[in-house]
Amino acid sequence: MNKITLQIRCWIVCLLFITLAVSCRKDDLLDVPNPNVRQCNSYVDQFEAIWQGIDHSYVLWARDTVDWDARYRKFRPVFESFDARRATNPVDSAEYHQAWKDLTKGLLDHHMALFLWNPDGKYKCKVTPASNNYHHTTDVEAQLNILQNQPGVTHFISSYDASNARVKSAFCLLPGRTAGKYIAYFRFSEFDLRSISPDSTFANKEFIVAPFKAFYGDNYASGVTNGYAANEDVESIIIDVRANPGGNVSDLDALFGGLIQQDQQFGYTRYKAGMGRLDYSGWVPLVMYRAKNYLSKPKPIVVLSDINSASCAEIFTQSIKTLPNGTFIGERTFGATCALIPKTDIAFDIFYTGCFGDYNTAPFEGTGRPSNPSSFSFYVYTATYDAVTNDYTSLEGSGVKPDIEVLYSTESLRSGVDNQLDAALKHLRNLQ
Amino acid sequence: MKHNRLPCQRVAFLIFACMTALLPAIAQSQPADTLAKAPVKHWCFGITGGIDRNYHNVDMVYMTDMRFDNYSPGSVVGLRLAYAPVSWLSINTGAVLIQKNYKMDHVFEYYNLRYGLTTSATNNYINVPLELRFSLGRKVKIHGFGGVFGGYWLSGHRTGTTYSFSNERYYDVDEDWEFNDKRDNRLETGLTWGAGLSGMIIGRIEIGADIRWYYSTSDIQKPYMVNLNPRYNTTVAVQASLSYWL
Repeated sequence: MNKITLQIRCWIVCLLFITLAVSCRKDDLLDVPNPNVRQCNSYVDQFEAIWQGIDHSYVLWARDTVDWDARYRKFRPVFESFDARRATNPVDSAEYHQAWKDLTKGLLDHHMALFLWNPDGKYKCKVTPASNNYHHTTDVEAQLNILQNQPGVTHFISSYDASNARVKSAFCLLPGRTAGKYIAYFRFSEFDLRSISPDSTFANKEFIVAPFKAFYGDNYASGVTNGYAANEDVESIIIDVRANPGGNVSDLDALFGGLIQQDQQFGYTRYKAGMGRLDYSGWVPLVMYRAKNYLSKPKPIVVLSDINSASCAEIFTQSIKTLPNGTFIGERTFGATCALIPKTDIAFDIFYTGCFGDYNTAPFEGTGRPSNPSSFSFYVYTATYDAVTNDYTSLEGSGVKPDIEVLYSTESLRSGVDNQLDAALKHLRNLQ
Repeated sequence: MKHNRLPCQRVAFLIFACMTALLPAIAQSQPADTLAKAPVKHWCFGITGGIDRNYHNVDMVYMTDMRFDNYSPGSVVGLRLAYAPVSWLSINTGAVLIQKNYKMDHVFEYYNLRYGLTTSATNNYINVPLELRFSLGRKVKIHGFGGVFGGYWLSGHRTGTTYSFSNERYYDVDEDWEFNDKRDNRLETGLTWGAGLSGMIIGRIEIGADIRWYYSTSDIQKPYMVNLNPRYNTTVAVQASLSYWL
């Protein structure tokens, strides 16, 4: 074999090598539909849509310890059996509910709720993986009654009404360290300034607004104006968000932004950016911006929170805690610190993260009925972004820990003492 | 945070530019008897450098607003080691620092307004190729080569813009890639092939230029979930080399 022939053979070997090379990659790519627009026709369809939506878009996979692939292997046969039984032995609501509860058990997202409809649209079930039965309920009415009877309390206004399911609030002045000096107390039960904005038609608006006006001022939606918070005789502040389940994050612009003298960074956020569970965007600062109208001089602030303070109330609590003049008194908060945007058209269709499914299925908004009740509609309410503190610590599931821990005490309230409020008053009155 | 660039990025480009410009002139200027001293059963070492473009192969399925802009530019610089048992065949190896970059655009419309977020990722790898190289010609040789390479993902960095849901505004991102042991497969294997020109210049010094493909057959992600689309890098580099035959 001469040299030329050998060289030609070598070149042929090279070409064969290249041909082999291009076939070395995995080519069985995923073929999954967008869970936000998925139509389901069976129990398995519904299971696949929700499992896959959480698989690719759940924002807490970086921290969650649930083996989601193992859950798939375990529960797909369960939903297949539901389909197989539809004609002969239909699944009842309890069994259906239990299957979903077991599937999602232990997921870290403390906002998560699944709203599910069975095949006939006859019943729906709600599954909240983080819910439990060992948290106390907060007796807000008792706490406000005790507040009203505090020694030296003045200007007490309460919009609390047990029959009113919307925003409730309270305001009063309490004696400060010396005669003529006061502690301004303000409580609100939900971050929902939209419902009490000047252009809202909310029926009880004026009733609800009174404590906001007393604390922040007439223009409460723009921060602190002519309210008592800015009064020179008010030396310190208590803001009570116990049992506050959260609400609209943009409310923080006014409610927190009015209390600070400069923009305040208190953490970072990120969202999903890809199909992989661990595909994330870069971290961006989580900043509270000073409101248009703000306290010109910082005053000691105590925030009261408890295990039923969730979501926006926790962000508010963490923000106050981060302030040099802020102290958190009470007990560990709920642990739903990664906020969300409930409307799917804003978040999921753009960022492929957070809530997905049939928005109208959610009982808290829309019609309360899925657009097609005969289908297996669903709506997964879940965090839109991952949030951490300034030192990249996640508070999801663990909640914000108090600077001064004072546990909720039913016995104390029954005896006419709000031990958490007392601790706040004692702390502020003993400040040097 | 500083951008984590390859240290010899600019040097590599200069080497490549100079060598590709000089190659034809030098080859023509050399006397035939010099070129005839083709290396046989000799060792060779040298430097190489150039520019590359990386294709980040990933299927985003329904996340169609997230688009990868291919090919993203980068640079390559390294060392070459070769052994030639006969004049027309050599075994080549070495080590190169190579950038396998990509850019992702996230373009979406919201209330009839168009928004765009970008992420530019700079990824630095070290690749160690092992190639068989075949040559044809005398003055200026045409060569083709093929082989395998192993690599390691040294570092990464990303810049761009992202969106804050909580603040409802855009922020710049400028951060080093934080490797995740569960997610990132830092070891890389693949195939390499290409073709080019080379020629002897002064004495035992050889210059060359080639175009080569680094075709990674390993996913940059570990198989940490069942429903995971793979991500592969394919890098096309144009490299120049300056070598000395012992």
